[in-house]
Amino acid sequence: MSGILFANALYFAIGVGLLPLLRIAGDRATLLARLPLAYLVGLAATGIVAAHLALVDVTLGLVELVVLAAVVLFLGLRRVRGPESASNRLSLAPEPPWSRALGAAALLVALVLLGHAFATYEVRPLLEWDGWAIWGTRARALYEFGGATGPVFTSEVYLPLQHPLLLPSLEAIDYRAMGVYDPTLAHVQLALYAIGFLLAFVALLRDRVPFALVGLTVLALLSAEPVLKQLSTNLADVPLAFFVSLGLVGTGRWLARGERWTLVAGTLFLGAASLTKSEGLVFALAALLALAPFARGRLRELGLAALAVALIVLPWRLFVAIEDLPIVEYRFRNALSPGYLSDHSDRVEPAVRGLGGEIFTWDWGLLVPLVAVSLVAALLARRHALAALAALWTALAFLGLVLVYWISTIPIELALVWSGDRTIVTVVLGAASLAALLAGEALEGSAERASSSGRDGRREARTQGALVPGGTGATEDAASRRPARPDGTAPASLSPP
Amino acid sequence: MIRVAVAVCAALALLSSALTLPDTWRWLADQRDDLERLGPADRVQAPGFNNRLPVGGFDFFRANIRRGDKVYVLARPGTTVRGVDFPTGARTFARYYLLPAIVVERPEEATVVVGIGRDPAELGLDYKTELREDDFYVGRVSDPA
Repeated sequence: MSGILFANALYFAIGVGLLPLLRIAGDRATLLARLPLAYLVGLAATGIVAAHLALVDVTLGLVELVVLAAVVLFLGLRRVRGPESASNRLSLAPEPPWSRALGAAALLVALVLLGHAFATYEVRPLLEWDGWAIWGTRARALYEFGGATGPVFTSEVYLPLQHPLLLPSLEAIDYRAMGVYDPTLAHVQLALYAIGFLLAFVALLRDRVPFALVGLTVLALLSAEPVLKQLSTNLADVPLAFFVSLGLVGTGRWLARGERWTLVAGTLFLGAASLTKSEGLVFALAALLALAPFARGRLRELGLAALAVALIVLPWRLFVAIEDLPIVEYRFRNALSPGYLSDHSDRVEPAVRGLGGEIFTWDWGLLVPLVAVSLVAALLARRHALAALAALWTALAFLGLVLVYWISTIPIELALVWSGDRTIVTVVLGAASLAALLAGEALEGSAERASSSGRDGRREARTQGALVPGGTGATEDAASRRPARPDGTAPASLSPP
Repeated sequence: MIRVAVAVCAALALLSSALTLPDTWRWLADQRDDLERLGPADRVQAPGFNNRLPVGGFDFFRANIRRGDKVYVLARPGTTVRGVDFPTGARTFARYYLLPAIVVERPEEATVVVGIGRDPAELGLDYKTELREDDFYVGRVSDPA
């Protein structure tokens, strides 16, 4: 256990170094405020590097990880500026004590739940078929052989071969850190993913969204039955959903506020998602496509983000092409073939019905109504771009999944039974994660509208602003035209005095 | 109106947790109660037992193969709990359980043939050694490279 915890402490250290290097935090105070983001940033970045190195049979063990952490931490901390300027300060606007208390209580409950999950995961062996047959086999093979050029990753005996290597690479590091192959203890890594998700979610939203909303939303996400149940199976669907959700929150906040640091963090998470499962690329592409129509004047930044995601996934796609890895379940080119799609159009209706049925189930609690109401709130507050992003991404992600089932060669009923409840997790979790941002932005929009309606309105805005961390008065459109600081922090006018 | 909608969001999130958290908590607790009793060997064998695969036979195989071995799995007909045929299920489990040995597709590529309910002798290969334990067979063709 100590080995796996040490490896994860190193992921955190790498994340701390990367925050300044990626301009997510430029000065000490900002670094401290965004520290909860560090663990998952480090996990994602290390997973990407380890997955790429595995393609050329280079092993990332504990010694290499220590060196990497030391170098990244040294370089990162050298970039950190001293005491922050007042305009950069990430101070939180006054928020009613009940809101902070409610948010803190919800986060505490969520952490207790994750502690409970941690205790279960550490005694839960690999049980579910795909958990050992696909993901467990790949992780163990990376641990045993040190790389991905052998038959386990290239021979048709080991089909399916199309799954990317981020999750198995991280588990292989854990085995090396423990010095033994222990597939039960490796489940602890999955619980740490969830804790990292919680911390990153809070870090991305807490200075924009009332703490009560942040805490209650993340608790609702993690409490939903499919999340911790499916996470325990060692399948990659929930880690994928975590990365995509954070990618959406980061890029969504950039869309609403023009803060470059959230775009950088969001892009990293979308890149990690595209290396976690093949569908990750579909979901990342859906996010970038959904952002494009509303990022007027900022298409260069968005283009760079898209390029970064493409560069992250490129080595894996090259490996797939060079090794000519067969994908027996579907062929991407069929998605572009009108003839094939027409011939198999009888699969669409059951796919839509099956996947839709997985969304509208009580297992998710009230996450779907939460998304709907947050969309209404954002539209009422004229946060049209953000609302459109949420709606468009959800539609594109869902249609992307339908397309995958459409071109799949597995009988549709069987395909849905095998994986429908898993693949839908990212759609639900991604949309629900945006709900907190939508609601927070709606509140701020409400304050702005009040402030623009005269003196009385300004007084009211101050009252309302007390509910809005970082409440300002900037409209979404104005914010979208305003450049972010070079260090990626919020423009001064977005920070409360 | 906006503030009402946001308040509804907070209420929905709270209510959602109230609806789902107890079941999630209970499921985690039940899993822990059931699984913490397992010993180290049980945990290693759990994937096979959970899918009704003959783990004892695979332990016999594992004791008689080495790193670098190429293994051909010769399995009796039948089905598994996943609905896939037994030879495919057995081969899939061998891929995982017999690592760092590698499973191969054709017997002529193998350094070792393992049989489940079938004797490797029926393949007509020339074996250096042949071992048997109940319905499980290990026929070694050559040493690993």
